[in-house]
Amino acid sequence: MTIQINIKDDNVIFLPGDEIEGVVLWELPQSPARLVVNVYWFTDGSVSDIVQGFELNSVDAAGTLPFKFSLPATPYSYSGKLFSISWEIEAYSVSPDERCACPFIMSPYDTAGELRSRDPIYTLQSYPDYHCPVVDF
Amino acid sequence: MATQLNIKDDRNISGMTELAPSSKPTLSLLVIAFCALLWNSVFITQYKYQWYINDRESAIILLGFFIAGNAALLIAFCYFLVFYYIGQPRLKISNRCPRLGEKVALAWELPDYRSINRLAITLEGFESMENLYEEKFPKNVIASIKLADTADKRDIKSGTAEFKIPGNSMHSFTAGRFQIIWQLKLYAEKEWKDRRLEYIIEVQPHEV
Repeated sequence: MTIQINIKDDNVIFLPGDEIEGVVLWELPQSPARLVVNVYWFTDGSVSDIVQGFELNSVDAAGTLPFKFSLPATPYSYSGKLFSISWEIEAYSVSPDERCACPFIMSPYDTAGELRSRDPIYTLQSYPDYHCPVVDF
Repeated sequence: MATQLNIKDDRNISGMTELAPSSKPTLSLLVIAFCALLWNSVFITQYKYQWYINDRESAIILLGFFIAGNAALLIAFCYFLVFYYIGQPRLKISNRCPRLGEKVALAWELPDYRSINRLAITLEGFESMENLYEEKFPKNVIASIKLADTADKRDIKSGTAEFKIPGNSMHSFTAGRFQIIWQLKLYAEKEWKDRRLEYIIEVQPHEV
């Protein structure tokens, strides 16, 4: 009984304007009333903004759904002393209520703080300390 | 952050956008003026009463308080004139919405340069946050670049500098109680009252 998000190539670091592509997989005890997939950013104080997303009203109890979103130019992922800005892609179902969220980084900088190009793809292997949890809520 | 001091001799500041200071002392001046008027109204009433009952000594003492109230009004008025009309520094910038990593030209003119002993201009980026009661946390500076620091009257009077917005930093950002602010800070060391002005600029992200 889960919802899972698989991002293409296990990429977790994106440039502003990049496309984020992947698949949502779900296996639920019954057909959900709705299935929603969103890309959004949020701050510590729960200020958030859904950048893109879609909603399906009649889906099977189990299935897969590819997605492709274009990321905007701002805001960059940010981690400061007073607050941080984080990005996530989430998928959730309504009746039954299940949710899965996968955080990612949207930044033009590499780990050294230098501007980076589109290659290579930054995978989980490139960032061993980074965890993209597949969690049921 | 590396300090860049690059004051140029070119005094031409045409073709640039003038910045307006983000904080003005209007409220302080209004409060001072209101208090002074209130002060005066109290003491002028008392003065008239003492004069009416022929207590000339008390009346003369009260007249002193009335004069002090008028002096406060006059100082507030003079400060208002100096801030808004006579001594207002003029800061001009080649692009008021520069991108991260972009070079920007800055020019300044200080009409009251004769009374200024030292001028310092700094580019500062900081994060700011308010709690739920709208109380501000102490700001956290993420970048600070000194653009000018001079005691030379000629450079204080007018000058230009060129600087680069840090290319590996965060763009301007506002969401609810959270902000990333970039500003130019002007500090003029004067004989009797230093002047501190802040000019907010909007730093854009890198081009996608």
